[in-house]
Amino acid sequence: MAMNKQTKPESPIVWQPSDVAEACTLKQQLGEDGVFVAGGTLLRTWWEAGIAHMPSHLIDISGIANMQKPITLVSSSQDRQICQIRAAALLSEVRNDSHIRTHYSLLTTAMKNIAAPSIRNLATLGGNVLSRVGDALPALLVYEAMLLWHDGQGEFEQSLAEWLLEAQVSHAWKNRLLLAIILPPVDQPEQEGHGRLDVYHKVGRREVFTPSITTVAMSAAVGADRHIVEVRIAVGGGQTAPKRLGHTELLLEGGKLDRSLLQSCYSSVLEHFRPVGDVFASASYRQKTAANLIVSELWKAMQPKS
Amino acid sequence: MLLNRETSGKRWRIRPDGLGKVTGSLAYLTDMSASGMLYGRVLRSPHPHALILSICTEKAKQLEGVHAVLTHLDVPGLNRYGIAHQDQPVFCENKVRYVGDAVAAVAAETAELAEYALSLIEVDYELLPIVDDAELALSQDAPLLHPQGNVLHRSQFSRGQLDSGFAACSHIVEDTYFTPRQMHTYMETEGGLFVPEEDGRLTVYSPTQHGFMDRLQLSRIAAMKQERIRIVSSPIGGSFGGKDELNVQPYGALLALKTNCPVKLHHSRWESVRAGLKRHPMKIAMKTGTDASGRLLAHQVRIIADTGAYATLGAEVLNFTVEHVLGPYRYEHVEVDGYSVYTNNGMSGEFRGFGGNQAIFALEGQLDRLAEKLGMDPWELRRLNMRMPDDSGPFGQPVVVTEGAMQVWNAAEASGLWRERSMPDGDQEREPWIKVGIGSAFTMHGGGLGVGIPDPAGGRLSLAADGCIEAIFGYEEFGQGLLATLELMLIEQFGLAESDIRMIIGDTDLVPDSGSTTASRATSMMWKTLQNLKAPFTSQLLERAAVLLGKAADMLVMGAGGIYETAGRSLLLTYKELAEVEGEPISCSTAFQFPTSDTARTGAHFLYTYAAVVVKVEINQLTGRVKVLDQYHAVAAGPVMNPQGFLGQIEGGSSMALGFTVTEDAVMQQGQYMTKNLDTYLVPTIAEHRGTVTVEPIEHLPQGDSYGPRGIGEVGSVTLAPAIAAAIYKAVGIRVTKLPIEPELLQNDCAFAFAEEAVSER
Repeated sequence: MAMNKQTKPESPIVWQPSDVAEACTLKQQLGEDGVFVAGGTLLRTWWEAGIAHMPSHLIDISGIANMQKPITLVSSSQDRQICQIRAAALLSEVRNDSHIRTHYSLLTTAMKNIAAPSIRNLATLGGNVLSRVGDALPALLVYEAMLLWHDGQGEFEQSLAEWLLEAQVSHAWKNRLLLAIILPPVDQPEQEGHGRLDVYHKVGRREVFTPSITTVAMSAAVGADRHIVEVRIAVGGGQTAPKRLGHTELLLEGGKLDRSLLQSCYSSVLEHFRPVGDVFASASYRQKTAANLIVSELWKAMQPKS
Repeated sequence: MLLNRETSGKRWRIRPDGLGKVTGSLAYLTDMSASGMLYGRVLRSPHPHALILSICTEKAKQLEGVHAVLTHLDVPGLNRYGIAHQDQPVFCENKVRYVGDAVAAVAAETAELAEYALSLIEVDYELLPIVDDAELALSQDAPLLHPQGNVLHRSQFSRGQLDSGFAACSHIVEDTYFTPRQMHTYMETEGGLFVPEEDGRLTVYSPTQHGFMDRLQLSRIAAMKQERIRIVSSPIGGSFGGKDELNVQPYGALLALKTNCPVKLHHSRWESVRAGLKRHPMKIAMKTGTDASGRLLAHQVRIIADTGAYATLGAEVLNFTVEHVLGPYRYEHVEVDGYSVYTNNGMSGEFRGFGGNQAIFALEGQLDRLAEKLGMDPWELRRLNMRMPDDSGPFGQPVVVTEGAMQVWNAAEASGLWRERSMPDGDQEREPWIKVGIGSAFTMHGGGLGVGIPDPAGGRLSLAADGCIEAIFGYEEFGQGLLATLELMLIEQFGLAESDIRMIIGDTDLVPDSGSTTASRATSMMWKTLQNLKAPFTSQLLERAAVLLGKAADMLVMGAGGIYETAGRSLLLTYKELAEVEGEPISCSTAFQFPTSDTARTGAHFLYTYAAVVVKVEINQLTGRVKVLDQYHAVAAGPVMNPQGFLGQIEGGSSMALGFTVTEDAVMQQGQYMTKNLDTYLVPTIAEHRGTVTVEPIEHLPQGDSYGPRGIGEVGSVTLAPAIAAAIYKAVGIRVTKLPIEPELLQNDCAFAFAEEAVSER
């Protein structure tokens, strides 16, 4: 910048690589000055809020050839289908996919509850995951999703749960490109008389178009005798890192739903879910909301069917 | 009769500005641009309270494409503004008092350049202790924000002997109520286009609720004669009181005059939140007592309003609150003590309801608590203590006699929703954590600015050269439906067709000063204006026509398209033909003041609107969240001038009240907004608006009433909050004292699931 004559800094340069290798090469060359972007809906709120500086280079991954088809099904060894969602899949595409709606309904519900239609038509599932607090995460954790990365050398898979832990202590993942979110096949209950308990609740400060205060995703099978199996529960919301409630799942797994199990479950959620409070909602409110939602759903599942 | 499309018949019309708004073809003032236009930006203080040690604008001035950088040194006239009290600096000289305070402004060739130029302005601050709480600001050792102290205004009222009043009470309730810093959240943020004209005049295209007040204020700042400034102030994308005070205008005007180029400013939502006005957060402590039969004997109120850094209308809002904490009730012994207090928080100011919303939330809460103590139906307690039609006003001032209070009370009592109150669940089976309740509340709300404040009104009717009948008023259309209402009044009162009418508003070069478009006053004043003008204007037209037609004027009438014969109902002469006849221009005008009470009490009102609200709510005890299921509003405001407008105002006001009650609060900590944008400041969406909003207007006025339609622009926003609080208490037995309601207060654990009979109960 000249000493006497002031000039305005330039806008970021937007790179539009056509394949993964080119994208990774750009990232390696640009380092921290280059940021991967797709919908950009979250990044721009960060820039506006001053949480992040607008970088001098943006690497737009939405034009990458194999990002084009948002959702593909791959047959696994037991002739069951693995669902691969490209990182640049739009939230609206994920929401409207019939395979996802049939087999991963929690994810469909999660998509419906994110932002508003105009944003869902720009924002991507990859972006929601990489925000580390996205509303998709509790649903994806319940489905034990895997992440497919490219680190410039090659592709590798990592479980979502593992990455969420890694991301708490290391920024190394920011140099990798997320290619896809992989959903393993969902086991359907084989026993007669088992009903699915699949619930996703997002509680915000208003009904819709709202940041989450507490998010709960739960999946289980409940038999006619009220025995509960295949229990998976994930919680999140606000700035709280989403996680599975392993202790609570263990407590419930194979048990018979009754008031004492519900009571123990309630205490277990309060003990193991440690949300972060903020100026809008206390940690204790978030915790209690999660416990209430989980236990009320279990209570509903144990009521005699009318 | 309920108000809806079916009951309104032909009066249910497409509003004249509807098509443009729905299709997006209508250009708002902030959509305008001009060739050679520069972009203005304002540098605002990042600190809530600091001394300015130095301001250096050199680097910004050297930036290519920057045409002007202004500070307090560049203000030719008064470096202050404020509708009532001019204490807000256009540019701060040596002290900043809130995070929106303006320090400098730039005009540059692009918006990006202007923003970058702001970053080049160097300001040295010395931080001062922050006064972020109004109660704290009142304490003896609080830092002084203004030389005269931290109290902007104190307003008191008393009657009777409070001590002996309370001594005679059988039941006394005491509580303290807190209301939020609500934001207007107009869809169109503040902005405008400022054009220096070739003849040296300045044209300002910028939203305001009183063009002539902006003209006066800008003339002081720019040291220009008022006549040298033209304010075009309509159409506006929402205001709700928030754009009545100056916002971007001083900067746009000064930058345009300095650069001699058109300058555009338009706040981002971020800047709107930071610099814009909010509703006064209030803390209202009340002690209220009755005798054993439930008659109110004594009422003591202490109000502390956080008015922020500068005055604007903080004093007037407090006066309104002091009047309205008494409400439509009779008491023998009353003492109200109110303070409007400067803090380093964001600016508080005018907002739909004008201090009544806070007052009624507290007052109606007291009535509900007393009813419980008395073991009395809360609605019956209100009837027992209700003011009578010929009672004086809250301050003992003469007021216009109406039966409004009893009318809305009766209407609510008879409403289907209120009759459901003992069985709000009906036959519906609900999950055990869902609780339902029905509550009600009651209010009287003053219209007009009140005693002691200039409150001009009036307008003009003319036959234009092209044969249009022109209705010319100094009001603004900000979405409330003023044009639709005026059009319908002209059609109904003069028999005109839509195509005969041209409405001219919001342009100080063209319109008379009809006063402000605030305080629920515009419809009342347009009606009164047309009443005043009807006879003289009609007779001018008919007499001219009579000469031309060779008929007696009393054989002629005005109608759609022109002049008709009374007997034959056939069109004899079009307005265009009439306009083409030579002669003096046909034009009539009237000017008067909004009627006021004969009292010395500043701000006291004369005309009131009465309202009662019944609401049904559902509480989810798992989350503590409240949903409104159904609403009933009875509004006694005289004849309905425009059914859609009336319904829209009550529904819209109620929607704002819902936000005030359940989601909205511009949270501040240490003088900084925690809600900087609409991702954390949450207004209700369509999903919050469940069920129906039933509106029952009560049009009857006493015989001989000459005041016509009362204002309804604000009252819809006032009464819902206490009704929701009452419904919540009915549902779950918890008293709400703080808005917006914190869900945690209403949250329960899952006791239903741990109970013995958990399985069998359903």
